[in-house]
Amino acid sequence: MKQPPLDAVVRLASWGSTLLLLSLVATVIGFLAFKGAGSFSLELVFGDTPPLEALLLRRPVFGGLLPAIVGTVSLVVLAISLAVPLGLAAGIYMAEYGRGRIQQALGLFFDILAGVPSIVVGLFGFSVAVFLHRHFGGRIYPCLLISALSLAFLVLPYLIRTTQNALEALPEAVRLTAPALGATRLQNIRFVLLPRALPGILSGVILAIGRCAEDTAVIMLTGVVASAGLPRSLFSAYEALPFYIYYISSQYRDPAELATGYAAALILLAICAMLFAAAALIRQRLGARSHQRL
Amino acid sequence: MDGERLAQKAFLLAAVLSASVTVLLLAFMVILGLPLFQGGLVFRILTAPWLPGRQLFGIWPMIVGTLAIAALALAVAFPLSLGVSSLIAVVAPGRIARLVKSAVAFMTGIPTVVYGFVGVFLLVPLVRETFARGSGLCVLTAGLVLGILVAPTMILFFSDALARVPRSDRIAAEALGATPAQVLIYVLIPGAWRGIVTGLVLAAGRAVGDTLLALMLAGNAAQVPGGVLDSARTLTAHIALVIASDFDSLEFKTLFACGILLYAFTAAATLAVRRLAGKEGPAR
Amino acid sequence: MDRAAKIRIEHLFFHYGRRQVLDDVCAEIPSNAITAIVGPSGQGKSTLLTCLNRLCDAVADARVSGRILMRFEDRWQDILAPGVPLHWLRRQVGMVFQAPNPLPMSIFKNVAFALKLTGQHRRPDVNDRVTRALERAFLWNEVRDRLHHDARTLSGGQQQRLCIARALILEPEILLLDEPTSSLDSQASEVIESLLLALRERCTLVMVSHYQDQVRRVADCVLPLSSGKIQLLATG
Repeated sequence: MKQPPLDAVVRLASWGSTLLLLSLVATVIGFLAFKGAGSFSLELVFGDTPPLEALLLRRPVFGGLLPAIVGTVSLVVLAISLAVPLGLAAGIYMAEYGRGRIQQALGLFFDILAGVPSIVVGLFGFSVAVFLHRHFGGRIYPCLLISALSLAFLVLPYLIRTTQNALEALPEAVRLTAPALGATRLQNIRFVLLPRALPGILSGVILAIGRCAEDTAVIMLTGVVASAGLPRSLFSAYEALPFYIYYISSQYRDPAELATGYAAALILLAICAMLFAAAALIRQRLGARSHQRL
Repeated sequence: MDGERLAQKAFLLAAVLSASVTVLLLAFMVILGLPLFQGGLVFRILTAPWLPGRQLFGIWPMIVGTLAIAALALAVAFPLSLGVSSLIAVVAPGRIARLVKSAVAFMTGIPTVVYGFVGVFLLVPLVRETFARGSGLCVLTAGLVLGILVAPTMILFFSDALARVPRSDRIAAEALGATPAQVLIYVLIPGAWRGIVTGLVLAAGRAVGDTLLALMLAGNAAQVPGGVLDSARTLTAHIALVIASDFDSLEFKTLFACGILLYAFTAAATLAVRRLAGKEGPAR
Repeated sequence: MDRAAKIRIEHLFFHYGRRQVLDDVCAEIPSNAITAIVGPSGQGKSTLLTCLNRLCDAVADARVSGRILMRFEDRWQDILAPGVPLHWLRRQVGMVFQAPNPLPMSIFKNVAFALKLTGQHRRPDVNDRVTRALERAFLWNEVRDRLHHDARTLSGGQQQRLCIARALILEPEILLLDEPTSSLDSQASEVIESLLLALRERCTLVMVSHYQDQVRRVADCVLPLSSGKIQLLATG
């Protein structure tokens, strides 16, 4: 079919930009896979330490990625367990109790917080650490706990909004069933609304985990270091995967160290991809189910 | 009944606590940066160059660097995003559009540091060799990668906005013999402009707020860049680089000026987005 | 029937996914007349109508087979044939929908929209043709003083006549109407009906209607459709 020139231009431009963007992403992933896949080994993770002894914490691990991986995992667990209870509770308030002006004002604050650059949150965390250090006896330095707290602030508005949206999306029929049977508001939330909204909330939590795992700006101001071994306590410095990748990109000493950088980037990418896939899967099943029950 | 009241109070408390973080962030920076606001120092800091050797701690070069890199990123991402979202909305049939959309959604999950790392080892040498000038760490490199980073956000916003244009408008135009491109240009884009502006503003907020790509790819020279091949430093990278200096020095205090600027910019972007969304009339 | 045929539908089948909507439809539609497609709802009337300007193509999983011949300048053309440019076809075959669907722009721009699509920008010509289209749609006197107001401020009946004016501006030889009065009150419907009768002079009209009395008042010819089939061959 002969196409008018405008249509040909639009087709060309939209296919062109799509293929360009997709091939750029493919290049990024392909480049990492090509350079990083060769350096996967037990040594990559555990360095010179025998794996069993490293896992049993008998001997410290230096040189491998294990400290960075363990650091990132502890950071994520800590940050999420700080943020989820608060975010869930605030989200429940927004969806089920908040009305009118107060709800709108709170929403504005959450939206602003969601937009604040992570480096600003990091600066805040750092300043808090210095402040505590000066006023409470010098025991507190930038550390795992400060980082986790800052990261919790970073993902908090996101958790609140997903919880709120998941609850508000529930159909009116679900909302009214339990109260009709004499359930109180709290019982309704606890036994009906939250369970029904759980998949939506869960996929939000998973995406928040991804943000905590990939963020570098916050932690580089609040306690992450290039070499610390396994994190010893909440108040110690620690290593983390994204920071390790950043650090290697500018400070690598030899090709072997650079190769661990590629591998670390590949591992982080894989972790984030899996988290993304999990969230997408939950969302998809949620979509399928709500269709069925319509 | 007491449990009910208690729970409601607890939920309210959680919400208020969370909201107070927003205020606390700003308050902390303002209080710690208070010396800056005395005697007009803040104006000198906003406009002076950064020459620590001469005790000049101005952040003007970083303001310019931030704007230059973010503007370049948006200039790259905007046409690209418009193209991809047009493909999703009108050009490609359903299955391809869905596939492209999930690929774009997946892109939002790629860690920033991964883009930065690949940028350092792939794009930086390429820029260095192509232009045979400097180290390859420059505004251009950072802006290009940042453009790819913010494009998915824009695309998802644009294509949602295009999809929200009433179907009846689309059919009315098609029945009058509008070709797909005409439907896009005369009906969908005018009908979706609010969403398009929203996506652009959000992407601008992300571009200005990003730390890592500028830090890894722009070279971090604290000077006003004269062109896209010059090295530059953003406000965010400046915070990351100066954090190690003495907490009580004037040098460190300027970080709060950077922080407050970044906060103000992103808060203004958020307000703009909320206004745009609020004005959207009820669906027809 | 003494009028010449304008449209000939031959063995038209339409599947939507696995559902068969049209089952071997054959019919002839006379030129410069009003043909009404009638029958129970949900049995393919609107689908048959949208086959005539191939708006049905936009539906996912739709499959059409058969032939629809239309006579343009004394040449018969199968509009289902591959290679027929849709935008060309839709400029010859206008359509008016059940619910008025003015675009979110001024009255003037709505009517002039099709001219913009065909690249006609000369201001005096455009003004002239918009005026004529509005006159033909019995709307000119009501809107002449507010051409640049938003079209959505008009009443339902006025909006529907605006949509007819919009469809008429390219002077299509065929005009399709999908229950054009079903969202209007009786007074507004009456105006539309007399408008349709007037349009017959220069246009072939095909409309879907639910109202028996409306069909009796305006239709020259009736195509009864049920279960996707034409029940008896139409006679003029």
